[in-house]
Amino acid sequence: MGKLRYKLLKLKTIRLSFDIIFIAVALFLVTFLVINVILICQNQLIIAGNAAIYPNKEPIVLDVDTCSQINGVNLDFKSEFIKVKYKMLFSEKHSVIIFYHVLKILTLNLPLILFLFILFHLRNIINSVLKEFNQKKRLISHYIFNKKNIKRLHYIAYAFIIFPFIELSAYWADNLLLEQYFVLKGMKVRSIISLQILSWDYIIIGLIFITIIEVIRRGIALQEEQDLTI
Amino acid sequence: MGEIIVNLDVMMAKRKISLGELATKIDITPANLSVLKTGKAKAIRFSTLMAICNVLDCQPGDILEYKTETNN
Repeated sequence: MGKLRYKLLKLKTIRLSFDIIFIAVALFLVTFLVINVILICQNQLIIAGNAAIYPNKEPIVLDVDTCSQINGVNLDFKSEFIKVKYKMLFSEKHSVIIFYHVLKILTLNLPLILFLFILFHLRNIINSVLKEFNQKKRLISHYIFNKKNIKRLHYIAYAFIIFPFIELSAYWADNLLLEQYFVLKGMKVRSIISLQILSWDYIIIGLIFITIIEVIRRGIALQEEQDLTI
Repeated sequence: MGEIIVNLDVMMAKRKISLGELATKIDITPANLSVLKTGKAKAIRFSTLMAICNVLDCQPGDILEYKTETNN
């Protein structure tokens, strides 16, 4: 009985810590969103951000002296592009501005949203274990590996797989906007996020998750069969 | 596909034996025997079937029955 109580206490502590982290991150996210929205409301017609400028024909050759002379432009010597901060002022309210603002907020907060999503489902899994723990006294493995929790794990796996594709669509949208409104003669203006930077490894994590879930699912089926063999 | 019907309750009524008594005699838990009686079981071990037949003095066919879908 003492052991059982100890396990219960341990689970409750884990749930509490999950709750605290979840609330803290959620509060941070909400604050960040509110600040973003306020800033956007103040500068409705301005679009600002970072862009990468690639030369069309010859690569950029710059020496240290040139760099120090260019004010407000960040130069990266390792790559073949110049990182610039841009600010575009639109003369009238445009659907593009709204779209861009939404896109910017989304891309900025995407990792946080994913983190919250995963945390929420993990907390629910622990909660379900605790709920059944209070009702019956069976093996803990029976509570974790049930169909509802398998569904939750699936959601986490799908979130991992979808994540880089959301980033990719944001990258495309950013490129589209820059190409249309930011024109420099002889230069190619692109999004600062490159295809290589996107979190492609998340897909592997998601696939590993799905594989593990399939193994667990098969285990559950075997367990059920064993339990119902008289 | 048809299904296997467990007629254990019929046989138990015929032999006038309770679930608890049968469970004790064949050395399985009443909960497991109840699962078998209500037809929720997915499989039955030969040893269990043998013990039940021994106690109830019957054949496996008296306890298990195959029903085709068209008969239902």
